[in-house]
Amino acid sequence: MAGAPKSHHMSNELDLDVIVVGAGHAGTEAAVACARLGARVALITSALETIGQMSCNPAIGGVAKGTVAREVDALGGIMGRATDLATLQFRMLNRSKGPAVWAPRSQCDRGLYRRAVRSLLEQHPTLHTVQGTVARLLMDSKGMQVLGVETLEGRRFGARAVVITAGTFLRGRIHIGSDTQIAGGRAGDPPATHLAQQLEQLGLTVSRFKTGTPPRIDGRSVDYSRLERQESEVEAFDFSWSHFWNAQRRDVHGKTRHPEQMPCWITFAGREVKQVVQKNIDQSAMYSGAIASRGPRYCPSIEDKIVKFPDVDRHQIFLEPEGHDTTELYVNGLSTSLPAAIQLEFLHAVPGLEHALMTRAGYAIEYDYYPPTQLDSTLQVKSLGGLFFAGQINGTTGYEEAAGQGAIAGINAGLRALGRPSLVLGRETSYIGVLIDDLVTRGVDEPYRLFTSRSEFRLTVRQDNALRRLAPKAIELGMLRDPEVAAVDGRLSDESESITIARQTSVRPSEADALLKLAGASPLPHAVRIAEVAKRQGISLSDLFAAAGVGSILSREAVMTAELEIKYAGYFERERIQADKLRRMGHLALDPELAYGEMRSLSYEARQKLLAARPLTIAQASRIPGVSPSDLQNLVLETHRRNGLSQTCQD
Amino acid sequence: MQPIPGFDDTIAAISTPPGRSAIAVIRLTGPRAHEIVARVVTPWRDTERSAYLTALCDPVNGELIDRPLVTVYRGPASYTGEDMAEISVHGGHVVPALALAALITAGARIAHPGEFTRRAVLNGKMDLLQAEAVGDIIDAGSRAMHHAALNQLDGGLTRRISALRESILELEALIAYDIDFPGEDDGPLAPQRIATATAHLVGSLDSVLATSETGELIRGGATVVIAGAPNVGKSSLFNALIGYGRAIVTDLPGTTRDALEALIDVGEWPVRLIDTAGIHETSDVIERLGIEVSEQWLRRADIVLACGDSTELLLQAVTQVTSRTAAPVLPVRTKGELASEGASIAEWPHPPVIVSAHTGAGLAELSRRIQVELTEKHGERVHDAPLLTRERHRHAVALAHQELINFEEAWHNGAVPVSIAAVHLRTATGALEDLIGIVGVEEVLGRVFSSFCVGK
Repeated sequence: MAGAPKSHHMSNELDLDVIVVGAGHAGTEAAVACARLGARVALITSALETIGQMSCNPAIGGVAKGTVAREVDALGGIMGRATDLATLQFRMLNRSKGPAVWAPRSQCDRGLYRRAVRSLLEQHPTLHTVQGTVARLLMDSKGMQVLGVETLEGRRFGARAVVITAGTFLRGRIHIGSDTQIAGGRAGDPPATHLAQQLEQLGLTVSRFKTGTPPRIDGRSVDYSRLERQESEVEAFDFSWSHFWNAQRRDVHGKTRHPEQMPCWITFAGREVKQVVQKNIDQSAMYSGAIASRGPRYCPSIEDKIVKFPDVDRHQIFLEPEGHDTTELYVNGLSTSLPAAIQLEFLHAVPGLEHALMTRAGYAIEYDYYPPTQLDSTLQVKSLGGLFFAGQINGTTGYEEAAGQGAIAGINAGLRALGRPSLVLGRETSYIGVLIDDLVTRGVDEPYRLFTSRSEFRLTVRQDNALRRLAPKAIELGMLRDPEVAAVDGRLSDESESITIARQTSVRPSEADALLKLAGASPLPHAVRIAEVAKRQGISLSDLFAAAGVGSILSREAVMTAELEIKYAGYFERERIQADKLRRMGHLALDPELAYGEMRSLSYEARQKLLAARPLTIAQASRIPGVSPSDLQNLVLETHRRNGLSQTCQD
Repeated sequence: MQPIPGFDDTIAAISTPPGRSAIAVIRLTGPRAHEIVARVVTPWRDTERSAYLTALCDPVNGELIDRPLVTVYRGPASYTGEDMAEISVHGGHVVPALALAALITAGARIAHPGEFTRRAVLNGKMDLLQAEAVGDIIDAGSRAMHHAALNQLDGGLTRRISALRESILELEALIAYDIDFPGEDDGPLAPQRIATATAHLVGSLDSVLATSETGELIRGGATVVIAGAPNVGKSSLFNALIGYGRAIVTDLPGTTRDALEALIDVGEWPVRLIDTAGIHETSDVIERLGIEVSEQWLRRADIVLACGDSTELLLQAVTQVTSRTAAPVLPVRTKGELASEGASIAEWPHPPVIVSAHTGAGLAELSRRIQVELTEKHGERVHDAPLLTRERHRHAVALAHQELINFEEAWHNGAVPVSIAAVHLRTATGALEDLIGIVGVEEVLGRVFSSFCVGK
């Protein structure tokens, strides 16, 4: 048997509840989640120095992703805290499109981020970090249950559950141009091949994706006079609530915990870049045929942009600082797999980069992933007890997507090891819930990235209310310490109190008129409840509170959330009704053993897709591509018929 | 209330109306359909789709019941998608009942109304709107209704509604794109693009919604009321029009007692012809005016035929009716074969039609005038355009329409960011999904099938 231990007598160096393999954004969150549950966990990585490495662009957050970072934080994760300690530029995206879709994003200092992650991990007494390359999984004699891992160095560790977060390391292959191929999991790091072979032998289906990075340049060689400068937003923003828990508010003693802010620089790839790329397209690893696997549509290489959108004259480029301790810049927007010499040639065609020195060449990387329909909603491999997958190994892209999966895989691995019931987040509770549900029911056909449009709950699942949505679950599972629980309660009651005050307190015309005039609104005829006035366009709740002299001790963030809830109550309510409808549909359980193959009422394609995915609810079935509305109809009826529940046929 | 019957059992029903007739058809569907028929007929042949003569006997005492024709269908190539059989027995009250009883004894169960079609839906042979169309074809009281139902059975309405749903989803996607890709090269979404797309959608929904009036008219027929003094020949006109319009139904279900009704085709239009003549039981009749018609009918009329067999009576009828109805009033000079004042009344502002129920003269002209009025009110009948023929359809499309208008109003004056107003779009999509049966299918199915007859 492939996974059977070589020697049954060799003893384990440590016996743990959970082992996490890989210490990127998924692995570190998985390990922390286990530790918070009280499980003993080992985090095994090939190089302790690269724990928390940002392998691609140096930024956390963005649309939907920023919300995930805050969700991970609400579950006690570390991504938000590390970001707050490493941020060097902050922007709130979508500011003009209404606060419901605001999306926080921070550029980070790579070094500070890495160090913050490692020190946050080390605060957990039951979390051990181990340097080593996992060579194989230890399995029980039937090959059905994971018992631990063995490293290339010959160290053995026993565990009740193993979480694999291998990122792009499984059989990773780096391409720079059509001729240069290097085996590697990330520039400068070797790939993992032994584990990849074993996983395939265990009967898991494996597939390949590719992703890419742009070149990086020396900032001293840039002509900044030709660039547009983009400053950090003045308003300080915290991704994490943890700072309140520790009572270290940023305004304490007038000092901020954020590092000094740095600008980004904007330029563009114009006609000259286009010419260089077009002339050399046959040397691109992706366009010469050296890479056959699919890459993400949403993070296209410069080759893709130019070939697929030949009419676009300019593509924006952001030069992002790598950190305070270096002048190196990340050239966001020029991801490529062209040869290094061509990369330099098109860099020099970019305004401001005419004399740029390239510190690192961009590259494309191909790696193994395991189609995630092989997992259940807890991210456990369906066919192997105790084995969990999280992150890029599941075909996703992005730090935040990895972190969200890591948290859930870690929680469930920990719960399983401790003999406790599992946790599944519904789509209506979080973007993490949407992400995992999409992965395990729909699968992926390109690297999966989150968007607001993937969620049915864009308005009620927001970055500002992550704590209310998820912290109660973390508390229920015992993942938060007492002072943290108190801080969460305080923050949430501030929110409720803001709404109560707004509904019960009236503001007088003399108090509000200056504000209203500023917003171009008509003056009040008489004293009116604050909640009513706050519904007006361009009037903020905190300004009204200040004018009426109330609520000054309430947290600023809580008042903002309350404002949204007051202003758009009707809309949020509608979305909640839709959520209820979905939940009801979600509760319509489907037997995982259902004989789809025999259901003649379903189309052939639907039968195949349902057989592969084996959804647990009608709601999941509805999101499987290839399952048409009429298939779904028939599935609902079939289920009712089998359950003998329905009472709609009237005689 | 019954649970949804399973597929595991085999159902049977008499599919033709009860009463004296040459033949009656009994249908069976289900996994044991063939086996059950084999138990009651000798000889039994399972040759598909070919009728053969056999003997049907009581399975208990072997007594001969009838010599029927049997046709066998094998699933999935059948109406329900299951194994089926059709047995044509002699009609009347006794034979079909005895034959059905024999099949029940042999293991079949009596079908619920609409259960055959329900199984066809469950087996993927048709969608919900098509199932509704089957009911409508059976109930069709006019050629126009029949046409509309056939179009719906063909999937015309499903395609139109699905296309509208897709367009709303596209608009949603446009807004989502703007939120999801704030830093893209093509810059922020121009409000004009949203405005144009919305206006276009509102227009499309409007035009679909407009078909509901025609649809309703097609379903129920335009109400044409015959009014006039006693003994001016209204009943003769009624009967002559029925003959002319080849009445399909003269005994409408739910007919009120104060009038005779008939559903006839007048050109492209189905017409529900009402004659209140000679019925004096209701107090509503405007007898004091000397006109035989109730206020109630005048209010509901689409067209009133004001009749008189002399200029005086005709004038009287027109005057008295016109003040009491919003519908167009067509003067009809009855007993045209006796008319002598033809030349003088031809100069009226609305020249009366001179009709002879006796010779049939003028009926063609009257039919033409009725069509002109209906076309003026409802527009040309466009053939094969999908119509909203049921209140369920109208309600869903009207809701989607309203939601789009709400969306337009919410974001256009800047009261609500477009990202939030987009909730309206989702509600609109949901309404259309309910219509074609993407969600809420249980409830919809229950409603659809509750009006079906047994045996379909």
